[in-house]
Formats: sequence, structure tokens, C-alpha cells
Amino acid sequence: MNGLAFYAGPGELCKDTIRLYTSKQDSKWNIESGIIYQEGIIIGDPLCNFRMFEYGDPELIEISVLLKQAGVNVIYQTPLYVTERNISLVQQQIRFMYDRAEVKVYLVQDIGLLNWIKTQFSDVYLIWSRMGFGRGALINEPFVHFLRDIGIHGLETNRIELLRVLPQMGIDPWPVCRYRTWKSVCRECYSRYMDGRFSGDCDRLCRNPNKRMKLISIPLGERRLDTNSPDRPDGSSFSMNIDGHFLGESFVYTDNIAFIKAAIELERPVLFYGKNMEEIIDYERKFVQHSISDTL
Amino acid sequence: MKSYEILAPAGCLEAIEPLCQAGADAVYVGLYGYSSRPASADLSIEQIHEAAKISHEYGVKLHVAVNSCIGNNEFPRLMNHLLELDRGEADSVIIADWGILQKAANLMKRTKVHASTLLGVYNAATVRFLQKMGCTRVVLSTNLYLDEIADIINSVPDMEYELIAGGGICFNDNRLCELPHVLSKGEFRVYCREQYALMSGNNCSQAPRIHSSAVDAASIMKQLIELGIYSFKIEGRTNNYHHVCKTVKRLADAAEKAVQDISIEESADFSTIHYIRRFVRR
Repeated sequence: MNGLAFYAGPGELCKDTIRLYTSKQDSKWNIESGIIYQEGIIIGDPLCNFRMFEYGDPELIEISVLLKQAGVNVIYQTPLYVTERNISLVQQQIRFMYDRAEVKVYLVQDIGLLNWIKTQFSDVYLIWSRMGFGRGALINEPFVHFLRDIGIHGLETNRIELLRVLPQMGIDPWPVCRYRTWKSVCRECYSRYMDGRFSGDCDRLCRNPNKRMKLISIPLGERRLDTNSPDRPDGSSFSMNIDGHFLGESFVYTDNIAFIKAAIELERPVLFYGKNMEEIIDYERKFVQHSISDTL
Repeated sequence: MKSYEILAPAGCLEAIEPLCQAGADAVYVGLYGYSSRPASADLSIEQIHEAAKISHEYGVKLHVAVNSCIGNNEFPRLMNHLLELDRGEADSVIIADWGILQKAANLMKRTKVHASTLLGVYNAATVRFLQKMGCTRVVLSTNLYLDEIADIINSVPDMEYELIAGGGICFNDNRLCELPHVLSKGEFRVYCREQYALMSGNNCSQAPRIHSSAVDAASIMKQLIELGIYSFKIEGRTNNYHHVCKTVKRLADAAEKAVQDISIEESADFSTIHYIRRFVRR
């Protein structure tokens, strides 16, 4: 069986993808047939493109053109915060992506921007992204109908019931087999904030995160009495990594065999959000093994 | 008609009358089972009808918050509740789900529909979209800066805008925050308000706080009214209403003074307030 996957991660992932596609030699990332292989790449960070690329937006533009030249399918992820400060820039980036990089698939998480894209480009494919779900990430029927009515074609999901239901409602599911979770998100960059930087260059603090926050104000013994205590089972204190606009960010692989099987049966691209190529490929190999056998 | 609205939270029926007497122009309550606050701070449909009667006797409006996550199995009952509210006296519903908002805007003939801050409205394009859907008010996101608010209002001036002017706002993105809220020894604790150590290698220091101080917009009421903000919301349906009444009075006095100042002076130079930072994150 063959499956298709789109990867999303740091800019190095894009560069590795370009090397993979432009190299005529077999590389360690060439995957033998019968296993999910990389179909394309997701570029664009929903919060800050400096997180993805050393040079931020200009480098994203350069990479998008290189990806197009290499024949890689690209999905462009639009920002989460599209305000009057940056909406014009975001719109110009999308225009460039469409005209020069020939990107036709977009991950969106802002209704106003989505509406603008629909009025400008009649042949784009729009996916509603997980960061646009909002509190609770609860997808209900009225919301799906609403998205369909305003022109969304696909929906990111890691829920097996939605894999089955969404096609019946006229929306393509995009199974996310590895996704980002967090404890909190801020429009301000936590890395800058914790470093006391309110202006000037951020020195890409998120690309070398080295700080954590550890809870100290609630005694450990007291927290253990809470049934909702977020402390670790080993009793160590609640703590969070500080990574750009995220606190407590981590990547989770779905280990739900039924979800993986259902995702493959759909014969649709699956999405992997990851830190680097090796990690994603390693999961892909396990992913396929899980889908073939019934054991993890 | 007043050029502003002081909007006060009510977590129980008993709070309605004192809040009206304190000077609130509008009161908002949560619909039992459908708001993002604990159920103890919500009102049933019958209580909402009663609350509306009381508030209207004072010429005060009643808004109803429907802003929790709504599952598919809860949706039909919610629609019935919205119809009941429309037949009753509630002045508006505040909705946080795009799908529910779309349904409500089509369903409700008399009661107005307001867009909650939890919808994530960050730009004028989204406001225009909401306007087309039949929304009459947008509760502005707490993530926006004043210049962004100014640009939105400038671009879509024929919409009502509401801003949190008293009580707590989130430092973090309140739509996406998963920090725990726990009950500890009977006390409700929110983890963003706790203290953290900042660990970096072998270094350890106190981490800067990741919550905002309670907002009190009384001192910049004039600028906010000139900006085009209509409704000034006080957060805190779970707070003691005696305390809220004091905030109502303070904001109402500030708003009244601001309006008098505005009517005396020439129109504000819009550009001077255009780039005021909303708050400094220190």
C-alpha cells in the first residue's frame, strides 16, 4: 500500500526536502515502495517565520521558489494572528505564493483572510488548520457546515470519527498523525519575554531554546491532592519548556492503530509535524508497520 | 441614546438589581450549561427571563453568553433555548462558535447576535464577514493592540465594538490556552497566576509573570470612547457582585466625565492615539 505525507517543521526540513527531490542518488530518505512517502511540505509558521527560517519571511519566499523548482508539492500555512498591522504583508505573501511559487493549497486559521483568499483566487484548496480551532478544539456539525459554506475544502483532524464523518459532510479530512500540543500560546513571544527583550532582534531564541519554567508556588504535596493535578506521575513538579510563542510545546504521535488504519484507507495525504526529517521517517516506518500488523 | 455602555457581569439573579442600581447600562449572564464559567455562575432560561424583566425596569439591557464548547448532542437543545430567548426579553446572545453563530443569526428575529472574543476576530475583514452574517457587535480580542483596534473601527465604523475594561484579561491566548484550572482546597487556582522559577542551565531565577494584572480602563476612557469603543465590559461572573458594583460605578463615572470632556473639546487628533500600546508586558 502507498500513502502520501506532507511534512511540517523547521526550515531545515524544507531544505532536506529540496535536497531529496533534486538529488538523483538514493539517499537514506528514499523509501522503498509500499511505505508512505513524502508527497510534499508545509511551509510557513502560524506564529513567526523566524522560527522556521533564520531570515524569516525573505527566506521563506526563497525556499518556496526552490521547492517549486524541485517539483515539491507545497502547502502554505498562513498566520494565526492576521491583524491590521500585518494583513497587507500576509496578503502579498499569498499572492507571491500563488503567482510565483504556484502554491494552490493553503492552511488557514483566520476567517477574514480565508474570505479574502476566496475572492482573489478561484482555484485554491483551503484547509482549516488546528490552530484555528480555538478553545477545546471541539469540532461540531454546525462548525463543519459553516466551514463548508464559506469555502473550506479540508480540515486537519486527529480524531477517527471525523475521518469517517467529514467526507459525508462534504469536507476532506486531513489526518494528522503527528501533531503539536502545548500548554499555552501567546501572541507575544515567550522566548523574548523571558529574556527581557522588548525590541530589537530576537537572535532567534526559539531556535535554541534553553529555558524552562517550573511551578513553585503550590506545594507539591498539595498538588498531589488535586485530582486534576498536572504534575507528572513520578511526582516531579509541573514545568514547561519555553519555545517561541509556545509554553510546554511537545509533539505527539498518534498511537491509535484504528486511526492510522482509517487514515491509510482514506488514501489521502497524512500530515506530520516534526522536528526533523529523521524523526519523521522513523515514525513513518513504525506507522506503516502498525498499519500492517496489529501490534505497536 | 448614550454613546457608551457599561456592561456588568452577573453570576446570579440576585446580582441583577444591585448592578442596575450601581449604574450598569447592560448586564450579561451565562446560559446554564452553555457558558465557559462554572455552572454555579450561570442562569437557567427561566432565571434569564426573570433577569430581563428586572433589568428592563431600570432601562438596562440583558445579554446572554453562550460561549462554551458545544457538542453535537447538545446542539438541538441549544437551538431550542435560543428560540426561547428570542421569544423572551433577552437583548442579545454572545456566541463563541462560528457554526452556532451562523445558525443563531438566521434563527433569531428579535434578539441580537454578538461575536465573542473567543471567535478570534483580529481584522476588519473578519468584522465585515460577521456583519454580513447578521452580527451587530464584536467583542474585541484581548490580543489586539490599540492601533489595530483603531484600524478595525476606522475600516468598519458601523459595527458596535466591545472591550474588556474591568477585571481580568488573559496574557496568553485565551482561545488556545491549556494551562490547568484546578480546585485546590476549595480555592479556584489558575496556573497562569502561579509563580514559576525560570531555569536556564544551572541558573535559576524567578520567571516573569505570565498573567495580566486586572484591567481598569477608567483612566483612558476618553481615548477609548474617541476610538469608537461602545461597550465597556467588566469581567467576572464568578466574582462577588458587591465588588463588581464598585467597578461599575467607577467606570460609569469615568465614562460620563469622558463624554462631557469630549463634547467640550474639539475632536481628538486620531493619529495621536493611533499607536498607543494597549499594555506593556513587563
